[in-house]
Amino acid sequence: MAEHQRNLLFTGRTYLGGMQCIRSILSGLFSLVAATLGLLPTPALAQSLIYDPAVFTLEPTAMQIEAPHRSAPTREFAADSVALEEGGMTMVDAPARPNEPLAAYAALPPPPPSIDRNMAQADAPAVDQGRSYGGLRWGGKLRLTNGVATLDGASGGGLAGWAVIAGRETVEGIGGSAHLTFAELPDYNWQSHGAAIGLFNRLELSYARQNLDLIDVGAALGLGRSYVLNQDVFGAKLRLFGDAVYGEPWVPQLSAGVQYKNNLDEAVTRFVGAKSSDGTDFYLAATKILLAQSTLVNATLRYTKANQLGLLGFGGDRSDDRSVQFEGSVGYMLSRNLVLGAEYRTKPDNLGIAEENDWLDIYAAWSFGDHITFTAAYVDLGTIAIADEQRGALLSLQAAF
Amino acid sequence: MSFFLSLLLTTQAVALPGDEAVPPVDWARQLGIEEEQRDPATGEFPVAPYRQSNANAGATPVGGNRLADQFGGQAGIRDVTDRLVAISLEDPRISATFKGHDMVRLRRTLFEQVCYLLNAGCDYSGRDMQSAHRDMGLQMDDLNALVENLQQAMREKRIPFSSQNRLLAKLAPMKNDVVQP
Ligand code: HEM
Repeated sequence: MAEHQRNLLFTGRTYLGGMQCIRSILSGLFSLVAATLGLLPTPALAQSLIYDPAVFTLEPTAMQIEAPHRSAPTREFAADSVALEEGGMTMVDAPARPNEPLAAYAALPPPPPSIDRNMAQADAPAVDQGRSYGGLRWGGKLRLTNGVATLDGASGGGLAGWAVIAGRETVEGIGGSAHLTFAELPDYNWQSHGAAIGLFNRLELSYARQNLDLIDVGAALGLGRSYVLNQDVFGAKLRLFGDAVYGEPWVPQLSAGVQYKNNLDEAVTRFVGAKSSDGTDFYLAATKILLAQSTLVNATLRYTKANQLGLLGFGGDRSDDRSVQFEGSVGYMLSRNLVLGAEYRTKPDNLGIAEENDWLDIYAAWSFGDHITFTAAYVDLGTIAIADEQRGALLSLQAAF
Repeated sequence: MSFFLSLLLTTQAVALPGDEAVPPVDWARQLGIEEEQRDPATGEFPVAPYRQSNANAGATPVGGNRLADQFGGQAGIRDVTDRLVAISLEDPRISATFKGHDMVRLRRTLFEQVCYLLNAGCDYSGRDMQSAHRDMGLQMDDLNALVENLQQAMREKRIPFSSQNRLLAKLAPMKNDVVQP
């Protein structure tokens, strides 16, 4: 029996170390490949993976180029009735047209729904991209406005959660994403992966598996070299109001979220002095893209007692209460495919034997086409357990539909 | 009681005093069967009367001339808006929405609107955004598609990204007038 297994009372879990890490990397890769290939609903979507749809255009048909006649009585009725309501209207580059009395309108049957989108699509040229599927519409979000997966699995900017909802869907559809993240630090290796579903750009459900390879710290703590801490994070986030892109610039997108975190190494959390091996975070996030400044700003308040996201358990000798922590991000949009920014995240400091610092990062997020986002960041995670100055690189790949 | 009331209402509706004054409904025209003629001078179809005002453009213009210059003045703006219409007519995501609408007029009013908003020396003579898009059933992804097309049109004119966003910043608050709630 290995030494670390004698030192700590393990609760039915076997030590796998490096093997476990490799397994979780493989399953992460699998979910990524599944998201990019298997889950794509139509060949057209797969095609747009390869082509930039903004550049990818189809041959126009004659009908599309010029409208030969007006087949839009619905709109005409609407415009007419507006004019009647307002009264005192002026004629605009149009031959005189008598105002029909209101009674004439009242007597009209409901106008044919010729501008109804279903009708319009029915007689549209046969180039429908299959966006509409069982009444739902796929995709449609502007690039990068779904954010990237945070370490907790919710969408955001990497370290800080944002108010944006996962997936490329708009209010008319369902979307989702899968991600794979690595961070390389002087004394630790981080690997996480997960997936999220976005429902109608309103509700996000996410899952992430976090794996922290302790390398030599594991040996120092008597856990064994390259001991891996694991945690499952289940999240839900609800957009309360607002739109990160549209609407007035002073009205942000505001979302409320909850994350249930279940640390799978209860013995370790107890060993470092945490009061519990599972816990729940609550947060409120506000995000806005200030278009006039090409800048994204985000502020999040998190009510939490997680030690190092929960990887060192929840609560401790110093405090077993939740406290309000802040997560802030800014990003400057260099193009619609590239954002550069920085983030800051404050953290509780509940454990006497394992000091915890605030986190910061400088990141770049690239979108490759509509579906793939690659994030690279320089992260400064301060002291983690007994190892300080944990500065390193974070890489993350996200596929979204 | 209610029976009599409804009877009263029905008879009243039938025997409306001013009934003879109501001209017979021109069904052919109301249903758009009859073809309207393009104005020989402008090439546009007539539209129902409305009150003209720059306020119909939906936002106030930017200050200064810098942005207008970056778009290449009125000529550059016309290239962008014409290109936006052209791309959108070829875009399978939204081309159907434009079918049956007057593209000659749209090209003109769209140009005027952007020219006005960028302070490039135009007045906007079109309708306000709410009545122009009413009953079109537009949804968020239609708007995003149009924004992507506008971005493409501006990119092709090599307009700096930050300047592109300053125009988008003027259009973004119009979302609620354009998209169905
Ligand atoms: C903020 C975004 C938008 C702006 C600033 C805008 C601007 C305009 C303008 C200036 C007009 C002309 C009004 C007039 O004729 O007096 C117009 C009409 C029209 N727009 Fe938009 N538009 C927007 C969004 C959209 C979207 C998303 C679509 C569809 C994908 C769309 C489709 C149309 C159509 C089909 C017309 C012709 C209406 C008619 O003939 O009566 N627009 N728009």
